[in-house]
Amino acid sequence: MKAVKKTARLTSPTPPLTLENIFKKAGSKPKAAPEQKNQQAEYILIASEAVSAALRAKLLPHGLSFKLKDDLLQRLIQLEKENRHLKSLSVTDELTGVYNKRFFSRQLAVEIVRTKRTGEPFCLIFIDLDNFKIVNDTLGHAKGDEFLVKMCRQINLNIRPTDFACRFGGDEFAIILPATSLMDGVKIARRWHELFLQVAKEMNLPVSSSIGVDQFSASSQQNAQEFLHQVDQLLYDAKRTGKGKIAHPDIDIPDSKAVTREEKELLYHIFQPSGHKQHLRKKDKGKN
Amino acid sequence: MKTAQETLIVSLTSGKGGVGKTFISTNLAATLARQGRKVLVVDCDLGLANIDIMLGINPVRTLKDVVFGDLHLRDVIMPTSGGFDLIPASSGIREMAQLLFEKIQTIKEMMLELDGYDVILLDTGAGIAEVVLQFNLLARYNIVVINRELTSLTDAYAMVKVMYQVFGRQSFGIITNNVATSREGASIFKNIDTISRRFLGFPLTWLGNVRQDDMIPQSILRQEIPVCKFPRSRVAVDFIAVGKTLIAGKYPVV
Repeated sequence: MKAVKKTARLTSPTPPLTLENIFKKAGSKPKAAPEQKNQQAEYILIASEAVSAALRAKLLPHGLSFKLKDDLLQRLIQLEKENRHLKSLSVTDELTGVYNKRFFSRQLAVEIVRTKRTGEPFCLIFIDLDNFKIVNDTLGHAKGDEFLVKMCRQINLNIRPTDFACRFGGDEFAIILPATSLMDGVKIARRWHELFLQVAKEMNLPVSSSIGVDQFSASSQQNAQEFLHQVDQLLYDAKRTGKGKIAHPDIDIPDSKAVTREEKELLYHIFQPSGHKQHLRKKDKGKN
Repeated sequence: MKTAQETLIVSLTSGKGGVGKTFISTNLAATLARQGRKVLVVDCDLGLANIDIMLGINPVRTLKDVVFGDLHLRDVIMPTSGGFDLIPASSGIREMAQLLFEKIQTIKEMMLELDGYDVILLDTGAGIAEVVLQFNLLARYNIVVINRELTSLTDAYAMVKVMYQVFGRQSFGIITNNVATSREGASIFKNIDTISRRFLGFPLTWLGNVRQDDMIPQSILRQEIPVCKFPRSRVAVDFIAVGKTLIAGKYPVV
């Protein structure tokens, strides 16, 4: 059951022309209840052809029905489709098809809020291609663009479904890894590093990637700008100490987190059978 | 003579410190050496290395010279009184950990170039620092040493869990050290095995007990290897059993 549901609030005091037209073209007057007579229509529902007649009747309790072949409706649907397309254009990078910087900034803000709320850290990977300028200068921008397109195709094929790859412009990329710890983030960064090398090797280009990775933890007091600067600094370190490197802060594995409370309790209670019973009783009490 | 590919590289790890990891590695190595195998012990405890102290030797070159200098692993190998070879580490070098992290691949390659060993035992440091995990990853098989302390059990489980979650490792051997009786060891093993089956979904392998013995503390003070000094003691018997299970094990190919 697929319904394209479009809710539009009409704010103008008189019902706009389009609505009247729809009524006329549909060949039926709105059978509004007496008290509603003088009220303006507030919503337009557009049901696609996939919606059954029965459901359409349900969606339109006042008995309005539109002919789907109606020109105006078709235009509305068309406009809606175009609108969506434009929306997608406004968040994707033209050349490579990955997200653009505008989307990145928005998503970064979302992830920071999410991390603060759920307590789960997220990772940010900054990528800067090495020797890319040389490729552009010696082999031409077309070759450089070809590499970027190929690289991003690989990104789109291999990226985890929850991650967001964004192009900052030029040869700078960022990948947001929601709900990911630094340890996994570094592992994934290494994987991307290898993959980019492989693409470069296939195209016979001397390109590699410098990468900075860091994690945003729930306890962090930084704002988006400060966090970005921090990761940027890591990337700069990677670049400065020699190309083709991954820079990240020291990884400390949260050992207290590694073993959950539940596991720990069970480990302890198997050890001391009497404690186990107490634990169960406590739990039961909690439920009641 | 074995080629490097046939060498069994095993790591001894524990999570918690002070459970007798180094005691196990030296005695296990000596036991296997007494059976005619060529064994190398690598002291990977970079923070607080102490195998050399346990054996009463004073190494000139250590793992440090491989990490900082340009020596090959084979250049720092030294023989020991236990009949096995040793690559000692140096204590108290803090920068070592980070450097080693960068060089770990090179060290792995060097290790595979060391021909002729039947078994290489990596004695890792305590804790679950990245370097320890990397050494565990380098080994084909991880042996986790536990004792009767509750914290050792928890930390051992943490180690197993991290190795599983981060690197997908699923086969671990457990040695229960310093237990009063075989039954106590079996029950300690059963605890950790139960939790592993329940929460991680795979069983652990029990390599055996090393039982308490009054002569062990004195022997360690005298910087001796108990299994060499007292080959008929119950400690020696226990180590022979552990060694047998270890050698007979089926190991995943890496």
